[in-house]
Amino acid sequence: VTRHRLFASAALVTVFLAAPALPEDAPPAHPRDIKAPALDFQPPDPAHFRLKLANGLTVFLVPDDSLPSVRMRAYVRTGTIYDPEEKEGLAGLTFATLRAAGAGDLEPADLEQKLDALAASIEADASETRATVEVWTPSVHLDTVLDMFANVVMHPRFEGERVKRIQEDSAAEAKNDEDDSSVLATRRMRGVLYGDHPLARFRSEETLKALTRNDLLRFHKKNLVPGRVVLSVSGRFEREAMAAKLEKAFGSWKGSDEVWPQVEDPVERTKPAGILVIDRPDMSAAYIELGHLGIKAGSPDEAALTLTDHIWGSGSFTSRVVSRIRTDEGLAYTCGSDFDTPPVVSGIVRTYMQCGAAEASYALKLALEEAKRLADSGPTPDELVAAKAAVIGRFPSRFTTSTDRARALAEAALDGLPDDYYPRYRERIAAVTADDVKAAAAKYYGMNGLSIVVVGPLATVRRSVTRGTSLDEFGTVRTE
Amino acid sequence: LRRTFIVLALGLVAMGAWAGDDNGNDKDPFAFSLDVKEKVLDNGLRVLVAPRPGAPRVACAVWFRVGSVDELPGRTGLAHCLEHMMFKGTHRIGVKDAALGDKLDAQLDAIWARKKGQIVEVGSELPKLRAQERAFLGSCGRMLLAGEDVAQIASEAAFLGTKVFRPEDKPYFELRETEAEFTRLILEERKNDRKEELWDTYVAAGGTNLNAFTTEDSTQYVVTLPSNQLELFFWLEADRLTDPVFREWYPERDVVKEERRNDENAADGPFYEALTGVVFGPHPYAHPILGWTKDLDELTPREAYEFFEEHYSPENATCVLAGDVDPEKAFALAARYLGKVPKRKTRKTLVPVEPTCPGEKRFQQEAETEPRVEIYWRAPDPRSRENDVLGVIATLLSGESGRLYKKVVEEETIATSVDASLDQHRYAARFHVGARAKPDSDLDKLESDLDEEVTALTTNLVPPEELERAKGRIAADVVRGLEDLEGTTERLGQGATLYGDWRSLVERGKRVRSVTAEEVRAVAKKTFRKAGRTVGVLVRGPGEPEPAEETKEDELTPQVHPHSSRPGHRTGNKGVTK
Repeated sequence: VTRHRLFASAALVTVFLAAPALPEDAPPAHPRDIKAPALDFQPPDPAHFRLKLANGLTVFLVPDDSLPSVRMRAYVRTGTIYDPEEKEGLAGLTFATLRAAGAGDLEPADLEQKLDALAASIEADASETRATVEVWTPSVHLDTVLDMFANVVMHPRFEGERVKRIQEDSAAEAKNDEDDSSVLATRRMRGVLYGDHPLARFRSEETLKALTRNDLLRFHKKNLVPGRVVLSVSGRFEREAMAAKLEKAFGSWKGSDEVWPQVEDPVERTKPAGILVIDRPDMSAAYIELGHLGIKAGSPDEAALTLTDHIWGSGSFTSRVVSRIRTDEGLAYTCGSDFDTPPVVSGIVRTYMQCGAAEASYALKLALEEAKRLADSGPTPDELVAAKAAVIGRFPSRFTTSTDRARALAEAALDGLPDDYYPRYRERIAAVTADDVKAAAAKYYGMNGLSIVVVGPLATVRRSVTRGTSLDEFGTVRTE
Repeated sequence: LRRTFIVLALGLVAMGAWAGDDNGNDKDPFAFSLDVKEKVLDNGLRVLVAPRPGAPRVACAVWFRVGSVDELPGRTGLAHCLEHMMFKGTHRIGVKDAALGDKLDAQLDAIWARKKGQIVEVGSELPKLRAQERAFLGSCGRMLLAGEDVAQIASEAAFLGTKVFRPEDKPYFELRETEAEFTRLILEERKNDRKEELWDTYVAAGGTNLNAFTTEDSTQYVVTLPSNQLELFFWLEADRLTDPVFREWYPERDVVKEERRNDENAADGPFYEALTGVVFGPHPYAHPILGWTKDLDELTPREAYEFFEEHYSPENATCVLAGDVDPEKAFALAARYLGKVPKRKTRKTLVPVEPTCPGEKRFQQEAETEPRVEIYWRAPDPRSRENDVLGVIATLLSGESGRLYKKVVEEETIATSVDASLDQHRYAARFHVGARAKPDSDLDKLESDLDEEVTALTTNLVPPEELERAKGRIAADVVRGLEDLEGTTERLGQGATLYGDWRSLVERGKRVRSVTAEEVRAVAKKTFRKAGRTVGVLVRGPGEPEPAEETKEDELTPQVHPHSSRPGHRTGNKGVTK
């Protein structure tokens, strides 16, 4: 203590003596010499914001008085993963019509106009393993809009004419779903990695046209139940008052308390799955995807995979595959990597690149070489430090606004992550070693379990005359 | 003057739906206060700071009042090219040996000039000679793999292929040698670069939303950082505003050209590009933000440095910060770094004047995409009351509960979607309505329906409830736009840059509360006239593709591909081109 005090007063004297004569100190010569002050940040504690309604509905409330609006998002544990066979597109159509085809006493057009009159909006949407109903309202109209929201969630009308119109539009859209080569490749990758699995079946014009209003009603009744919903609420309100309003709006809602209906996990492959080429003779470019079966939300591999993906292809221009394929060789304009962490089923670890068709086999060769190098030698110390700094540094961005905070908490709860998931996130990242990255690289980017999908003109992509490489070097080529 | 008018008008506000909330209380339901501190540094650079509660993040942006409208003929696309080049570094960032970098850049420029001269010398034979060389290489099985090979192969060709190449083809081989030298230098420069050091420094510091945008009227550079990294932001931005080095110019220019090709390849790209030309006539808004390809081919770093000198002076810039930030600390850091950026001699863009037009301009083109009708009227200055009223009119017409949707989508069922918008510009705003037709709809009928809805506003008063609803939607849009940090910096920056006041967008909701039905009718009457408006019609059809104008000049040089397009990069394209 004494020493501290001495030090403090000495410093003070120096400042007093030196201050008047001191010229403005020169800025550091390089950004690495800048001393950034410590960052004081703790992610929000879920327990502090959570509210459980009597019927089992989980809510996260984050009040914020700064703007006169309220945002709510109902997250539903459902998605295309629960589309019954030959009814692909059902989850999508159910949510596309949930608000749009009327709710409660209101016909579709009346509901639209009423929302419009209040400058509010309610929009619903479904993806693979998540569906959402999202609300924005001026805070003064909260009561009215909350009432409409509750009706949309609990009592959608699925009014026939409107359903038909949306159904026709979706069917027309579905015809073009696979026009985009990246979408096409991603779908085929699912097919190879997931095999016979709901996530490898996709909506089509036929399945959409065959859906009936009864299908929608059944899907809604089965999937939209309080136990499967997590609600995030942020904006201008008082916690107690909001809790009472929500209890009143959703209190009567009952249903099964099944949380996530089980879906079988795809069987993990141990051998390379070969190369699937989808022949598009009119294309001049090739779109290539490399994929492995990845991880579920909350997997112990998440931290290592996050850093490996950053070092491999998502972090920056200097990441391994981007730097080799794009920077050094100038082969691809688009090149990168990502992975997802869905609940109930393992996600996909993916590397993608687009290059000239004739360069496809060469680009693939380089990517595989790089993957092997990372798996054999691991990251350099600098790479690992920079990756950790970036991932830890951007972590608070998930909690920037009150809406970000409410949603981050709801999403973690939805996917069944523990309460200490966020509080311990940075710790877990910091603990990853070079060996962990090496192991993750071998497991998620190596030849075992690797599946390759190429979209492009078969004749040109198959082998490169100038480079002397061929797709057949890297696995059995199947064509479609 | 405008302020006085608003104050007077406020006294006359009719009490409509917006005058009360669900409980019947009498107040503006969209009222909010946004704390913004403003300071102008000694060199004229404006700093805006909006402290917002939340996690320790700060959205940072530097806005410049310069865009494609400030480009001179023959140099279109320069503003956007320069935006790309601003990521290449300085003498301290992005390079290993800065002196060597400068030397290589100077050599590259000289060789580029030489190459241009030689292309002229070779003349119209060039495509034929290139084809011959390709055929020759094929016949002797040689593949062109690296830059170093070219000169060798050229001389081999000269030696072996006497039947193919003649003595008078010498200029062609000189050109090929220059091209080989050019490629060699580009690869050498690449070795001396620290690739994307600026970008990677921001990423390693926890940066997100890193990007830059160029529009007709503005250019902005953005990044969101942990709030303890504010000094890093000022360091890097001041550095590149003081001492930018446009290295890797030539490969990066190819990235920009690639971006432009994507535009051309969009089915409706050529339609909107040509339509924009008709809408604006000789006005500089008529040329695409991405520039004409021919102009891009001719641009060199010299033009870019000149453009930088003319438009990137501190008094033309606004730095905007929103988030966990203390204004006083931010101002001190801003003064320490951005305050030292030297003033430059600026060139004021002459305010272009639009020629008057005695009648309606019409434009029609075929394309293999949804047929559609687009109509553009001239709109008043974005800072005027009339412009605010037109904003209300756009809201009355647009959206699924708007008048156009009800008419052509719901009642007549001849269109799939509609749009009504006010396209704001520094020098020439436009009011726009448009609709996409169902496959077999009568486009004349669609046009007259749109016209009818717009004309109705010039005669009939808008019912009070509908008017209040539109104003509510505008106020709600303002609030929505401010909900995240990036949205906040965007609105403050745009207000300051385009309208000369950061308040202009955030207070729009408040201003339109006083708009009356009579004002709507009067402004509609003044705006929706046939004279000077442009009608564009896209008809489904194959069109008639023109033969390509130019052959790619670098066809035979080995691939020195662009490597630096930034992830998620987009050209802000907020004008009439979609």
